[in-house]
Amino acid sequence: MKITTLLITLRTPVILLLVFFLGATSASALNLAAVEGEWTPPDSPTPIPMWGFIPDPGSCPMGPVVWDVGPLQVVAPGGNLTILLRNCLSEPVSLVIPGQNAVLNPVIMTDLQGRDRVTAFTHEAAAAGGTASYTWSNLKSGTFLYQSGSNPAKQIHMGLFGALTVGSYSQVIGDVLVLFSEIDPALHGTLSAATPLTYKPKYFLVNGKAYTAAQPVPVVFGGATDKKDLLLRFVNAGLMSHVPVLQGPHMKIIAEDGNPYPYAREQYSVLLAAGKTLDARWRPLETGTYALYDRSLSLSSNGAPGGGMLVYFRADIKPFPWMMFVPAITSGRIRLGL
Amino acid sequence: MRIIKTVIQVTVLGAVFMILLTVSAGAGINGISGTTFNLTATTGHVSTPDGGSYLIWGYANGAGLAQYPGPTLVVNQGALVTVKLTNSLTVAGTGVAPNVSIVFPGHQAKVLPGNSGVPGVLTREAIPGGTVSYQFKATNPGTYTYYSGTDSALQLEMGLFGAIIVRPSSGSNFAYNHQDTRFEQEYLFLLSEMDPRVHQRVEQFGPESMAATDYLANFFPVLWFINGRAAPDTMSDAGVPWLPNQPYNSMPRMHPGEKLLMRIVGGGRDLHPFHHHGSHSRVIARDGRLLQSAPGRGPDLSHEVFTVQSQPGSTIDTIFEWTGKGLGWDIYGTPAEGPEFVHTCTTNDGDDFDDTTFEYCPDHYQPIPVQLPITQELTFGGFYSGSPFLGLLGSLPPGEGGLNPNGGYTYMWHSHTEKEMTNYDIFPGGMMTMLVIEAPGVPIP
Repeated sequence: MKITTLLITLRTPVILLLVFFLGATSASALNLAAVEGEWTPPDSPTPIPMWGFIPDPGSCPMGPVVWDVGPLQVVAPGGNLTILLRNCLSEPVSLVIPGQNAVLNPVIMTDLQGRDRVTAFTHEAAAAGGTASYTWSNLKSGTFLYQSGSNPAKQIHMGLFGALTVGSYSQVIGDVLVLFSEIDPALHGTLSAATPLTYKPKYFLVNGKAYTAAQPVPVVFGGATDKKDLLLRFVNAGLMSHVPVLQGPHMKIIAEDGNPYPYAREQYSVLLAAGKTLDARWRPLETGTYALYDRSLSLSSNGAPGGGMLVYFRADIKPFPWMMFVPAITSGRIRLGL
Repeated sequence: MRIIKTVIQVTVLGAVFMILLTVSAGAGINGISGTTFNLTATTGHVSTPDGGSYLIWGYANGAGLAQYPGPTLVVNQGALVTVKLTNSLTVAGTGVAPNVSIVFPGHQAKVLPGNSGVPGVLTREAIPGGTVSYQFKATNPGTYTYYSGTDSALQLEMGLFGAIIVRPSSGSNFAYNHQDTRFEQEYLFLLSEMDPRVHQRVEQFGPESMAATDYLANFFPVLWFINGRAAPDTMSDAGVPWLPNQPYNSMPRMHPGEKLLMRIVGGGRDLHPFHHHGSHSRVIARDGRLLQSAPGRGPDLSHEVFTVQSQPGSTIDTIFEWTGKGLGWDIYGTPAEGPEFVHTCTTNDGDDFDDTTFEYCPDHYQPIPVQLPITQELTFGGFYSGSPFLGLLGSLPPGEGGLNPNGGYTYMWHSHTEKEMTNYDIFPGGMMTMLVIEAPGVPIP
């Protein structure tokens, strides 16, 4: 079980390193596509229809792709970020990043009573292949959520979100994204009927995956950590509040919504409200496996007990500092840019 | 000092009342202390004030009854704490009881090699009929929690959770090792909620039947508890015989000018905004760590609130103070009320409060700014003493009052999610109790 998990997680850093070198010179222009996807729940072979952001393949895919949370965007602070969005979906899509600077051009429609109603927070890429360009200036350091700004109650739940990290923290041995989201399959079957009024999620995901009792617990970090902090970036793309608890030494919470705290907050639990990001430093003291789980008990999978929002950190404390160069294994999304 | 005499008279009268009352006060934090604890996971039933009775799984102290919540473990800083868990659960349905376990957030617990149970996802577990022993060092003082690390969504709902208090080396009247965390009174507020569907289904068909429902995901509580009781049971004495599985109460009492430490623990899975009337309180710690800018500074990052945002699994320590300052009238009345209201206000320590009665001297003999209505124009609540003045009992119609035998001031403390002040849709009840400001001299055990 452990070996299989590690082999799977090993693939990601290879890709990550490749992107690292390829993307090292480009910081500010990225291409995304909004596409139809499918997410196969752990307890059923029938996939659930999703919408998602992927690295733009240059044209719209012929069929649904395997859904994952949008690719992690990593950029340097201070500069501008431009994302060119290709929309392969059946309705207009836009892109917003709460906490970052952009000139927003809301889309307004006039309803049957003659009232102006905002339908999108900014300009949209037209349905079925349209494109639009979005620019954020003077990027602020920290962890952020990018998401659709069009009909967000529906489109974000359909899966149009991802994490943006700007800048990096010094003196950390690993930078781990922990992105929470939920899926209510009932809202995904017939999109026209989807309404958030009846939102009752059944699947609880971390980094796009829902653990079930029958499977190994996902490992989000495994590697040497001796005398160094891990950086944990908590992001909640779901519609519910969650309370991650890290079973181990207290974390030091250092930033919220991209805003550094004047003093670190020492806690073993954090309230992660919907749309919230929190950055924490954490240092395991002993070699071992440390569980991170949702203490608001989204610990079921389609009603079955023993699943949901649970991941492991595997810390390996090396007795000698010269063994520290062994690269850390960090699971996460494919990174674009640097 | 006339007022002292009055207070003593009231106290004696109060003692008589106490014997007669079913709702009376027990103070402080009930729990078990030491370094070695034997807990048993077993079944019991909780009673709710609306007449409900629900199956629970609770931690018992040794061979005792299942408790909702589990026993509050009180330990001293630096102690090596051993908790031996025995799994005595029995279930309906398949009859195959689940494993159980305990996790200790904020503590680095290990299992003892000789009794290490079997592996689970969050910790090692005790199989049905088996045991597992955990050990941790209580390095840091503060308020903590423990709960089942096995199938937590179900087992916490069933009642497998409790509180831990680590007393600092500074002494038992300190929350942490700093002067600014000293208190005169302390109370635990372990907040939880219950979705009866889960308990009824587990009682009838066993835990395996949960998979056929969406109750764990689509959780819908209709009962809310402080220390395992729903109001008005919160205000009954601790250990009353008619609540055998709910031995802890929640009846905070204090004197004017005292510091009351509230230890607030999120035992369930929901947020509970715990609103305390009467005064703001100062949040000094979270998850067993002082809100401080650097070690040794004390709670210099503390802040005042009137609603404590309790989160699942986390703990908050906050210090509540009540004085009559700023009321603009004399809480002990004026001579115009009668000769027995003649009293002095003397401060020798320069804090503007009487050194004995804690009256706010700038308001000395200031009249209450309302004309008190006559008895015939009033309706009565159980907590009205018949007098607006602290420590005094006024005349009441037969059968009225009675819940406030010492003539204290009462303030409702409750969840500010107002629907949580109900028992299965019946108001008032649920996550609610009363703070009583008792007159100086009234004994608070």
